[in-house]
Parts: sequence; C-alpha cells; structure tokens
Amino acid sequence: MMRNYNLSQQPDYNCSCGRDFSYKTTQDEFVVAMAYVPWQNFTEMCDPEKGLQQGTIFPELDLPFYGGKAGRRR
Amino acid sequence: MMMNQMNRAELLHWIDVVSFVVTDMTLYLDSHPEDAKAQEVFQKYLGMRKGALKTFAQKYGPLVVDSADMGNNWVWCDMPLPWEGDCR
Repeated sequence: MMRNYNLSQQPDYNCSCGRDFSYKTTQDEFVVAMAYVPWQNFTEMCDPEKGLQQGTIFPELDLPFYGGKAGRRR
Repeated sequence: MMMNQMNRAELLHWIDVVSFVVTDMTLYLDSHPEDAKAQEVFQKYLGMRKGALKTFAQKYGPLVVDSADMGNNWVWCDMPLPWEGDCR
C-alpha cells in the first residue's frame, strides 16, 4: 500500500530517520541557525489576466524585482 | 466575453489565462493538499480550461490531443499550428 505521504494529516510527522518534521509555524519554535520558509496561506487570488501578466496568481508572491550589479557599488 | 464569440487568437489567449491559474494552483496544492478553498478554485479553473479546449476543438480543431474526438476526424495536421502567423 502506498504510504500516505500527506504530511498535513500527520502534524507530528516523524521521518523514518527519527527527526521531527512537525509543522513549526510560530516564531519561537524555530531552531536557531536553520533556514525556514514561512507557510503560505491562500486567501485571495488576483484577476487571472493580471496573474498571467505578472507571473503569479498570488498577490503575496507578486514581488518587485531589484535587478542590478551584484557586489560592485556603481 | 463569452467563449463562442471569441476569435481564434482570443480563445488561445483565454486558454493560456485559465491554464496558468490551473498550473499555479497545482503548485500551491502540492504543498497544501488540505486547502479546501484552493481545491475549489482549482476545480473551477480546471473546468474552464476543459470547456475552452472543447470550444476550441469544435471551432478550429483540437489544440491538444485530449480534445481530439473523432467527430472532427483527424484534422490535427490540416489545421494551422497555434503559433502560426505570430511573428508579425
């Protein structure tokens, strides 16, 4: 039987290697020196035409692009 | 604008628009399988995509093999390619 890899049904999903992968969302629960990505929550979607133009239908992901020369300050 | 009033280019664009929503929502649902609201939006736009492909197939011939039905027999290779005439 294919093992159910649906993480969210097992909030305290323990990987076979024994480490705890439970969903840590609040600030204080995070381990120092470990990178994390804040969890995205779908609230609203922008107009589909605009979504196609800007490259995402999620307003929270429509971020400005600050292109520029890395390093050397001009 | 209703789909059947759209010309070929408009319908192609509409298929791009709804397909993009389906793709973006798929990515979101991959990491948020439990999100009911997202599933609802996904189902809605998936239906719109299928409807648009079906309309396109009826009017101009199948765009993708999924909407090729033997009704319009095998016109697949006779119809202009979707991007033809685009580099004006």
